Amino acid sequence: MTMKKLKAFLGKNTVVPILVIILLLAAVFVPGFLTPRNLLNVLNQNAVKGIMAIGMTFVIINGYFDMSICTLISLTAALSCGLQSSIGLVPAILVSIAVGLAVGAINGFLVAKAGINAFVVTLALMLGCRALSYMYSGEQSILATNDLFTDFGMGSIGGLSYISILFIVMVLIAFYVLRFTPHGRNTYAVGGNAGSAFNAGINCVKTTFINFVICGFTGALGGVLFAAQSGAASPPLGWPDMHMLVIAGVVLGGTKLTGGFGNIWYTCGGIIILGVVSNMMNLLNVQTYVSTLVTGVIMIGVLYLDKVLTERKKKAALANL
Amino acid sequence: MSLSRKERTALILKNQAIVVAMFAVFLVFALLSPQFSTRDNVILIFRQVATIAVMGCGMSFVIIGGNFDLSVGSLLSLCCVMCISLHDTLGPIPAILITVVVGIASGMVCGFLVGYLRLNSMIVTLGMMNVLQALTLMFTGGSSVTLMNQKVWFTQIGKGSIAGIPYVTIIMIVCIALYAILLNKTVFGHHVLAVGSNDEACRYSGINDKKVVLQTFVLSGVSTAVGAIMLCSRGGAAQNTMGQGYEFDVITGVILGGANLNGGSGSILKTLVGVMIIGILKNGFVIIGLPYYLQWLAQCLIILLAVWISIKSARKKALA
Repeated sequence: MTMKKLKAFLGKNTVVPILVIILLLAAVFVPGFLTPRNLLNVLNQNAVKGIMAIGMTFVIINGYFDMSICTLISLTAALSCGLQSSIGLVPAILVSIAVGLAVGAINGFLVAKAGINAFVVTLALMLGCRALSYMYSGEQSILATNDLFTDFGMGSIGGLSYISILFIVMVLIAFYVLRFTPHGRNTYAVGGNAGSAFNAGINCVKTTFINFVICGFTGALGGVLFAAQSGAASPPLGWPDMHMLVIAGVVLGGTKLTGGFGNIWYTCGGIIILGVVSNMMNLLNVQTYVSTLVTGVIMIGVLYLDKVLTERKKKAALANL
Repeated sequence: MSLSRKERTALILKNQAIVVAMFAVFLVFALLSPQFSTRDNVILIFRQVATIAVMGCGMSFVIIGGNFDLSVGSLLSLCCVMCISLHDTLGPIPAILITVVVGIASGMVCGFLVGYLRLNSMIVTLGMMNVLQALTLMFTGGSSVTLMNQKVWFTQIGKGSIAGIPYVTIIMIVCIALYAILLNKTVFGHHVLAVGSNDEACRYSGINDKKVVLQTFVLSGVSTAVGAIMLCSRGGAAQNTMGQGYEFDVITGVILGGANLNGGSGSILKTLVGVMIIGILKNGFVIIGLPYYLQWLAQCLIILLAVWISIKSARKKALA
């Protein structure tokens, strides 16, 4: 019975066996991987990407995806660095977040209310944010002048960086929202079948709108944290594939791009898979292009494995009928 | 039902809105700068868009078939560096052939994964993007490549012209004509349209939808290789990051051309118009002396406007 339960669990959470395999491979073949310091390092390095992935998870469970965070992060990084000397640190961060919320709101309005394809809308906004970012920064890198800002970005408590702590807190909040609030359940319903969700009286437009705003918020926060981490903002930050890395993390975890299925733990797993792979490659001292190659192959491989495992589950369910 | 002349004009205007938009954008720049509408500059625009236009045609097939191909940017880089560095070691003809074969191979891998294994095209081509980027770096070892002799006939493909018309424009027009015939007049084209609108129904009616999807990706790969040959021969050199971000230009062109992103409809000629709009914007902002990054803002607004209008008119049609 317990064996059966375990099998059912693994069939449903395909990210767990994949993550275990990758961790085992890393622990066996990569010297220096299994030290507490290195494991914390993996978490600290991927916390910002993880924060962006949280918002993306909401949008993907809703059945859409958001490509605009790719350049939104460079815009908000530039704003938070550039404004902190003139209007102070907190207002600068608030303005950056407000820009993210605005971009998310535009995305949400155009996708949910106007009914335009999410790919088109977010691609257009991606280009728009890129233009604004270059306009604001004048094609120059902007240095962060406030020490508090960079201290937050680089500081840590007992090896765990402040940003990682923020990430963990946000994951817990996201878990709560997705699991225990009406909005979270509406998100699953709308992503699973928008028509029947509408018939059941769920406000699809509002749900989608809120999810895009959440994604804009986490994207903006990601940009600010990138700036805090590196102490500067450069215009090409995130271009051309940051959104893709985030989406890949979410999808590798097992959240379906078709919507209606997934949760926040999957996303954590997916981001950690990508993080562990790149950490392994760094520890093995291989060229960067090998790391890129392996990441690409793993993306396709995990997608295939997930497909095989879910199909087997489907077949088993049919056999049981 | 016969329409009055006024109604007919209105209908044509509505159906060809993107063509009207192209001329409007052209007119705006022509009024702002006398240099813009000179013969030389118009030829330059055609030279600049050739690569994106040919890639856009291949991408149109993929999108009409209901998928995306995000790997074309990296494939463009790989094809460019291969073509340039093999030109000096193996000679021009083998270099061109190998480049095309690389394009086909990459398309086949994507097509197999998407068509036969039914994996999500976005993530697969994203993975391929990483793989191809890595292969490019592996091939060059990180440095950029240049032709030894810049006067060989290979560079004439990109630089030369006959009776004032650049060779690349001729190649572009030939490619577009071929692709347009392929989409509209052949069985394969109709299968692509059918698979894009409903692949399940196609399977039941005996169309091999897996093969059709694979073929669309191969077409995209081939067109990227052709685009790469034109691009790298013009400069006589290639860098590792040459194609970075090209996929967005190409997809933007296809979207402006009005292809349905869920698959099932689209037109090659309108893709050309969409790509021309991007080309005109790119060229125009530089000519009138505005910063180049404003073109992205203009692209953003034009995409949203174009799609908004097409959705509005589609809804009106549905109500009527």
